[in-house]
Amino acid sequence: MSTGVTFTLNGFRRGFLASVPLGMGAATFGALFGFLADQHGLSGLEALLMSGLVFAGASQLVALELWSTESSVLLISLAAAFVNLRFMMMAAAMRPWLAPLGPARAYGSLLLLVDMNFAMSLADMHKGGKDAAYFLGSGVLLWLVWVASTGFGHAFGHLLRDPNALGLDFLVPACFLAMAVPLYQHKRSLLPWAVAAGASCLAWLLLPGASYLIVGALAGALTGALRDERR
Amino acid sequence: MSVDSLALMAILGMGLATYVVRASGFFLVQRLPRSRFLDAFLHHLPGAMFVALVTPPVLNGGPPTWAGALAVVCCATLRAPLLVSLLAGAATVALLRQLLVGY
Repeated sequence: MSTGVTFTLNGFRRGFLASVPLGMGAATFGALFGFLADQHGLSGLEALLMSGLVFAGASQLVALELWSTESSVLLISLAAAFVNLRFMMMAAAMRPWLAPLGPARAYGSLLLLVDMNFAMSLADMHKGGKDAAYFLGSGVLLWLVWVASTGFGHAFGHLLRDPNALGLDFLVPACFLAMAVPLYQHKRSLLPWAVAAGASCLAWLLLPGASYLIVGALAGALTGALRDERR
Repeated sequence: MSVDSLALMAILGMGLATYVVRASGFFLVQRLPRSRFLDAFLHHLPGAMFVALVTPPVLNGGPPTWAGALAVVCCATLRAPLLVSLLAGAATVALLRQLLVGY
């Protein structure tokens, strides 16, 4: 294919180095995750494994929220897929760089797809960047920072005593609220979000375990999709 | 440093599920025609998920978590950095738990 897309060590290095400032943001979040993982009873190795193998902050926090309830492996995995569905859109948007690479490099690079290296790569692509290894380099830096900061947060988490009196048990729901706010578009989101809130509360009262999460998310997203489709 | 076998299963399940999501976006865009319904569903799912996850426990937590949630939403609306929003929420919850007995 004569798309001009390359995959070089130089591109990898450029992506790696350009992501250092973003990496500092990732480190804060990673340390927070490590700390909260400790609060929720995960061992250091479990927290590191989760950060290394899942590498997706929001879904890792969701897992912590579900960890203490009687949630099944299936529910926790399904919740991770739901929270991370945005990666599907991002992977689709990376097509101009990934399609010419061949399956091994394309699906290999996608192992490390997160919001930050997607944003960086999309910006580089729009500036005319043609080196797809930029995406992988950025992903590798963010992954290293994410795993290291998780270990740091977990190691120092236990130094705090009585975290509930400090309101620290509220940090996980607070994270979801803070991440939800930028997604809110008044005309489009109000109805599906209200349905999600109502359905989740009903399920919380009537159904066992953490099924309120799935019921609320599906009810909200289906409402939004059915309404949008008719417009 | 130990790993519970059920925890390991959950971590592997999450990792696999997340990778399937990552890979399928690229896989499908090369093969499937896009539908309006699917686009809209995927658009709404993350927000609906966050709302569904947060609403019951926040309502159940009483006035401290109600006020904490309000503080977080205000900070995030003003585009405060994530850490600032979180600390404002936690501080509000902590303060109200000191002032109100029973929460």
